[in-house]
Amino acid sequence: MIEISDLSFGYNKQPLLFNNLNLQLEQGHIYGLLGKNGAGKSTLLKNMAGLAYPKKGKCLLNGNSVSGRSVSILEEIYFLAEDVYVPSFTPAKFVANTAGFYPKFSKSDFYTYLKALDVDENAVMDKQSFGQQKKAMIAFGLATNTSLLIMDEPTNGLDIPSKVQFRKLIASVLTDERCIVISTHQVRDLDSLIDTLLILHEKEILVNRPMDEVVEKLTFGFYADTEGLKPLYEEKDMRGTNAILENTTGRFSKVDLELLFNAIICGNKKIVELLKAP
Amino acid sequence: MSNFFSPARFSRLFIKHSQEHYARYLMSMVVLVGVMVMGGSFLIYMINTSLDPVFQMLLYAWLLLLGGTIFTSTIFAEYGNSKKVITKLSLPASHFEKYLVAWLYSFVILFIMVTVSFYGVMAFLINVKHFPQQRPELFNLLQRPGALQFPIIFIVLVLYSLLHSIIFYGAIHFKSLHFIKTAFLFFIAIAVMMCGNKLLYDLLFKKDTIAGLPFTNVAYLEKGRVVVINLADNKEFYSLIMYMVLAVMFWIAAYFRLKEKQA
Repeated sequence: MIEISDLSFGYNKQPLLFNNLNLQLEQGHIYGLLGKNGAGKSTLLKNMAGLAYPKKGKCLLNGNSVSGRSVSILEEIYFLAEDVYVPSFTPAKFVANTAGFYPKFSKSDFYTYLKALDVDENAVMDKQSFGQQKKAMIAFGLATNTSLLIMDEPTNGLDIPSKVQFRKLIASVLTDERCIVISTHQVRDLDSLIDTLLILHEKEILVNRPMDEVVEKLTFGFYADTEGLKPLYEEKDMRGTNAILENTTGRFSKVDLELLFNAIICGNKKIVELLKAP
Repeated sequence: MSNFFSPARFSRLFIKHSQEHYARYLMSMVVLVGVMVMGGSFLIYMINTSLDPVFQMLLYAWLLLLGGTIFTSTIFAEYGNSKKVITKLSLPASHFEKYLVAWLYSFVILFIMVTVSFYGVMAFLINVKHFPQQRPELFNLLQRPGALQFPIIFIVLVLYSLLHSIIFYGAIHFKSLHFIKTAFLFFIAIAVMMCGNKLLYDLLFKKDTIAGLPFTNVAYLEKGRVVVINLADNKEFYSLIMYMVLAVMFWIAAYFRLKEKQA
């Protein structure tokens, strides 16, 4: 669906954020894009949506370049920015004047999502809190039914019940024709939501693995003592040690995304090699 | 549907733009009318000036050129706002449709609104106080004063096209302070062109010419008299055509700048 090849991008008069980056995203998946602040997550997402133009390389959506921002491409992409902008309309009025631009928009879905996220459809959006504004735009984005849904830090500003509801909604809207990309630096927000993990670090995608393959290769656990276990990475606290081990038993454990992310950005080459290996 | 232009999509975009901005546009309109009423009243009552047709014409031209360029400088303001630009660029409408909505509002609609409100205010002001030996008269946009070849409306529109196109380009090119930055560069460019023009004329005529704007006449001093060289026929026509060519070039440049815009 999305094919990024040899992409190099940097803002004017600044060093390159990506250099010859390659990435393929498929329909029917929820990708979690993790990276440190400033790693270029938002910029990569903007390149995918045609909102930023690469210096070199290309980004294709279903074989067509996104860079020209043709209408047929834009109709297939919904981009939810980290800092959402809402006009001075109620959600109902906003839908009345914007939904028509998205051929697959479903009004009934929109009102269902609004209700699920506890947003008042008759309240003027820009008079609401940031969280309510964001939820209204999340509902709109989900209801567009675009084949590519890109969400940049969607859980920023959401309270805990809304985050839970958000995860449920995202899981419910995924279809075989849809690809969802969610970027965040709040790693725990993506727990039990994403099916494929992308980690962007130092100008490249260090990890691009389905979660079930991650647990095939690595074991995550909390141990009182890791002596003799040969952990690949560990973080000690007062109660014991969170550790990542190579999965040699074939038993599955729950992925601790935060621990894995910390291990990778700390430069743990062994884990990266394991995850890159076929 | 066409990726370049679809009437249905364009109508939808025009309506969306109007709904989102009508409050600001109405306020701008009220301010414009307020400026006209206040300014006109000041002229009539404070400095006792009658608003004769020639004076009205000058006021109208200034109002359109200044008010129009100030308004136009804000027409792409959302593209300079990091929050709004994503919404604008990612909306499924073509660049041409987005461009056309901005162009229509800042050129056609603005021209109509300024003209209608100017005539409305003038009709009121010229009757509010009567000056001896002066009958209240509105200036006619279709008249040709003096030795001018073309009606006023034609000349005003060409001049507005040129200034509009320049500020329209500045509005999409700059992220902020669109009017100030564009005006600053405009005046620098004028100064550079005048100097370049003079150097070129000096070389061509081998005389110390008087600095002048491009596409106008050439003048120099000879035996204490100013000699002006002009085109024999249609001099206004050629100047206006050159201004229109420049305007079209800036409009095209603005379109491509919009296409290149990134979030």
